[in-house]
Amino acid sequence: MTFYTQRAIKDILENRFLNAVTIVTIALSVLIISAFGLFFLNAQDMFNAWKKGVRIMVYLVPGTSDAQRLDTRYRLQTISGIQSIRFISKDDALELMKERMRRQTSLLDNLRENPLPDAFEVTLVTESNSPEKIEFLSQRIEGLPSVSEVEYGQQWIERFANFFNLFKLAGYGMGAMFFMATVFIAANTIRLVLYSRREEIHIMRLVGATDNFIKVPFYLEGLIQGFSGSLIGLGILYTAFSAIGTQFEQTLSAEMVSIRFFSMGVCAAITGGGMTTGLLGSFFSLKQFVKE
Amino acid sequence: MTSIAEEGAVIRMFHVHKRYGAKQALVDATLDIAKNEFLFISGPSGAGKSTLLKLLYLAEPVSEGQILVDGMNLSRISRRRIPLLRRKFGIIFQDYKLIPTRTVYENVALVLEARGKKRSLVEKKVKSVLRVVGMEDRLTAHPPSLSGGEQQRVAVHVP
Ligand SMILES: Nc1ncnc2c1ncn2[C@@H]1O[C@H](COP(=O)(O)OP(=O)(O)OP(=O)(O)O)[C@@H](O)[C@H]1O
Ligand SMILES: [Mg+2]
Repeated sequence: MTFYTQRAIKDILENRFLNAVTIVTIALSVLIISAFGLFFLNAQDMFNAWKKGVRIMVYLVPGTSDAQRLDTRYRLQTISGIQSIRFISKDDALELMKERMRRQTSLLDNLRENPLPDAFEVTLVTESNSPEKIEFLSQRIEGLPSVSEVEYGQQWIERFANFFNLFKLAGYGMGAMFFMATVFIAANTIRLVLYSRREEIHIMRLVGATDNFIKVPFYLEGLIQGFSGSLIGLGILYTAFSAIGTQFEQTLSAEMVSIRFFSMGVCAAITGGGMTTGLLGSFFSLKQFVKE
Repeated sequence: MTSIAEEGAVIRMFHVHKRYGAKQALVDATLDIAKNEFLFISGPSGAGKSTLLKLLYLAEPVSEGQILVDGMNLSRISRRRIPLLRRKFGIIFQDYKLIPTRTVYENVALVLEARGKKRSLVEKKVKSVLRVVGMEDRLTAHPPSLSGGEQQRVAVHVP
């Protein structure tokens, strides 16, 4: 085996240009597909976090008295499907806003009076998380006295869910296309290497080389191309990811979102995919070559 | 051609014909070659001498007739066993079949490696073979820089 590996490496070094083309192609494909996947992974993380915390903001009519407010709260408590109710006074809301928009505090400081309404923040039990349930609950809440407006992000969640599915489908389609194109290019470079070696291969055959003796180094060559291509692709992606991560670190932490890279397992799977690509490339070109 | 019909024949040909398309290269050749027999085949250029040899190690398929080599029937041999057949032959090709981009050492080593010899053995064997033919000081030369006779000496493959 070490002998075959040595021959494969020697072959790669002797056909540096061809191999570089294949490796760069594989690296680019891995980079593009992985970048897509990474974006999707993080977007889904955020989406899930957001979805989990579905809450309904219940804004009260301006000038609602404490008694009226307690009454509304009591009525809210009788509605089933609601998990928690938290009162956010308009002063609390303003404080919160000032905290979030620290850079624009001067703007808020100049306000003569607080324009925000008092509100209840209502979270739902998990079973009430379906679009229909939320719609129904918010309509019931809207009918309560002293309630001026009910707000929830469900429309957006639905729209995003549809978008995500589309995105996923496009990703799979694109992945399949890149995979095939890369196999094709890898097959062609191996074919060129085979062509430049045809004399040698013919002689080896005549003096009694087995099929495996001739083929295995080319399979290894494909595997090595796939392996190095994947590593390069992932390496570039990771570098870019880290750079973007530090760039937006502050914004991201202010929004309470964290982004993450692929796990080791996923990286290994991607590398495996790259190696499969190289192997398939060798397989197809050898199949054709042996036929000739 | 000499032919010694004998039970212990290593190579036997029965009514062998070889056609290259419409061209008849070999017509009804029958011969037995015994173990340790030393045989010349002579004839004018284009008579079919090289063709006869090519049939023996299956560089070319037989058109008609049967060939037995060491008990193997060449018309029935499986693709997988062809290398085993070829390893029984030591051949100096008429055109030497040296790879111009490989050194003398690599050319000889390739044959041994192709036959599945261990690497430690290959190194020893290549050096000893090249010493026998007097090419031990041209290990790193490439075939195009050798004279015709030197190329021929490198082409001597010892199985
Ligand atoms: N691959 C081929 N395709 C078509 N015709 C061929 C092929 N190989 C050989 N021949 C023809 O078959 C005949 C026998 O060729 P072969 O090479 O066996 O001759 P030879 O006896 O070895 O000659 P020489 O002494 O010149 O080497 C020749 O007429 C040659 O032109
Ligand atoms: Mg000849």
